[in-house]
Amino acid sequence: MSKRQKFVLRRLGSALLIAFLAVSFSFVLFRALPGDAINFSRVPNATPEQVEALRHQLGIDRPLVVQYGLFFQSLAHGDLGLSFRDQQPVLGTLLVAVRNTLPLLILGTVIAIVVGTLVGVTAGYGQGTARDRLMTGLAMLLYSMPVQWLALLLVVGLSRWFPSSGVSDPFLLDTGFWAVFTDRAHHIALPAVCIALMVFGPFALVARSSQLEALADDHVLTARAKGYGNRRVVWREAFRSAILPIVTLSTLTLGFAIGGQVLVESVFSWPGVGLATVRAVSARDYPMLQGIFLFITLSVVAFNFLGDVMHAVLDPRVAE
Amino acid sequence: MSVLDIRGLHVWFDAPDGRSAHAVRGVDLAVRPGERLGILGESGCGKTTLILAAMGLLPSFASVGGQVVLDGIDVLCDGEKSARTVRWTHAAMVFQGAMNALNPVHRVGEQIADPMVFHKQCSRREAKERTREVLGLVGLPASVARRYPHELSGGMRQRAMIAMAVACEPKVLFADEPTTALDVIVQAQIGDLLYSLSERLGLALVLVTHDIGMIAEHSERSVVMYAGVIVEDGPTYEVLTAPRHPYTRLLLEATPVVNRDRPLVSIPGSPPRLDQPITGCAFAPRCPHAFEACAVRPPLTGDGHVAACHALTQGRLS
Ligand SMILES: Nc1ncnc2c1ncn2[C@@H]1O[C@H](COP(=O)(O)OP(=O)(O)OP(=O)(O)O)[C@@H](O)[C@H]1O
Ligand SMILES: [Mg+2]
Repeated sequence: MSKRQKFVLRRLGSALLIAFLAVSFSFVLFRALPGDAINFSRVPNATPEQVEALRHQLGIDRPLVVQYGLFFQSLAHGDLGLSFRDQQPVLGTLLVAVRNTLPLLILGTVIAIVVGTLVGVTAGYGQGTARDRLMTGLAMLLYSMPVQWLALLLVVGLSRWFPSSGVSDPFLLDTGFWAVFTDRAHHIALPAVCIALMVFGPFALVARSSQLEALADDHVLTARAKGYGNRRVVWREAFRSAILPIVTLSTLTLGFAIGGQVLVESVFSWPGVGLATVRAVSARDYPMLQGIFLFITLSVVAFNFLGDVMHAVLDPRVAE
Repeated sequence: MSVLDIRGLHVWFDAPDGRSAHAVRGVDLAVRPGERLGILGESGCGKTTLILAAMGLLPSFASVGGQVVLDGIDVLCDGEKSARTVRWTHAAMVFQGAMNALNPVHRVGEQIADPMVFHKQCSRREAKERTREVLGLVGLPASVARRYPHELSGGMRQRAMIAMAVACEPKVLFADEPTTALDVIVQAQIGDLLYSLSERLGLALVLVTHDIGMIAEHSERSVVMYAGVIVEDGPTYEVLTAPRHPYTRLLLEATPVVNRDRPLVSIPGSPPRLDQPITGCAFAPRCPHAFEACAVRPPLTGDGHVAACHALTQGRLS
């Protein structure tokens, strides 16, 4: 087995361990909270017998260890329980929310990561030029701007042309592919742009600074001495050797972004994971919250693992 | 016909505050094919700057004047595009930062082979073949091609770097302190390797080092620099045993020699600031033989072994 494979296996092991701990933590967390599910079920004036019956029905009268085992058992079946709010399975609701968040993630986050990195690298190459200062200034400005404010600016400025809430027009009559596509594209424009602007800043800044550092490395001088052209020196030599911080930031950003953008989704009423979180919190919908919590932790762990794998693939020194 | 011809080279490093350091102040240097040339001089006298200028690799905030001709191409004036065509194919370099001069994320073999393909000297297949060949030439096993730089020791890395530098069959090899940061045994091996490669391949070698022993052993001609100018230039044996310029004399006396019982001296004072204009001989303020004439910059005079010193030409040096 190569060093890289060993490294990846080790990381997989620790990712699984962390996932297990996180899931257990969520079990403890939601049981350590004051009161239990009964307090939140809408049973005013229940008699003690009724409460007991309900506790039994929900399984929370059993010893904690048993509950813990059952918790994992149902998890293994994909059973996250029923939402307090509408008595629907948490899993189904969560999946719908994830399906709504994904396009935002791809259009907003992924594109902004790519563009931010390109811009940062270009700015780093021409350090000190007017273009560099313009790009860095813009990135700083966007980076420091509160998201909700950015979102409101977009709504105020552009909602004449683009709808500012929801994923689609519920009254759309034409069900043809293009009509539906245009409608969706119109709806996603503002939230996606908002997320993109928010994500762009840190990537441009990190890419710029790691590129600056890489360009000063001795091996870049070797590359130039070899007669390579600028493009090759900037990308294949400098950027390629300075890519790790960007990979780390990308996987972290994606891991969290898939858990939804609470602020953006609230402003644009985008029914994704972020908005589901807000709703669950305000309805004290504990099973739903627990489901979301699980989903977010697992995705963060998964993306971190992906980041580790990419490190090992991209930089031979990592596996040492 | 020289493989490298430098005429009237000046380099200024422009600082952001508007001042500029005049790091190379008029250097003429011609290197003949296969010649081995050593450059001596204390830290900051412009040796690295001279080499970088010769390759056309100075940073953009440096201004350059004069002429550097490599393989018929003026690397300073003919534009970056044509300068690139002579880099590595006509002149290659091995430098100070041996540890970090290789790209950490590409395999050593790729880094040796890529320039050959890039300069269209051969196909990728042939480049691979040639990679094995040059690795053998520097005494490394062919398996090193598949390694990453961090898997090699410092000495092996420097050998790999040298293999890389000779792969495209350049006419000149610049080696800027190629042995600093290596242990003494490896230093000697690298010195010998450079020497034997230069002999076998007919490669001109420009060797910058603080190690006078290395110059004595491996170069036939020596150049001494002080504050951005050449103050002495001649056959190594003569320069080291019968130095003409007062600076060279002091520099040699300030160098420790094993097995020789003599007091070590240090040169009083420090080199001049390069961000202020220097008139006359730059060494005059520290020179025990300075006199009125030194207020005018002395030309290099002599035949075969030249030095820039008024006291010398006027017979005031004993
Ligand atoms: N990138 C740079 N920016 C500004 N000044 C520089 C730069 N590189 C060199 N200099 C200045 O130019 C002068 C010559 O430096 P150079 O590196 O050529 O000296 P050197 O002879 O190679 O010294 P060393 O033996 O320490 O390597 C020094 O005064 C240095 O401060
Ligand atoms: Mg130097």
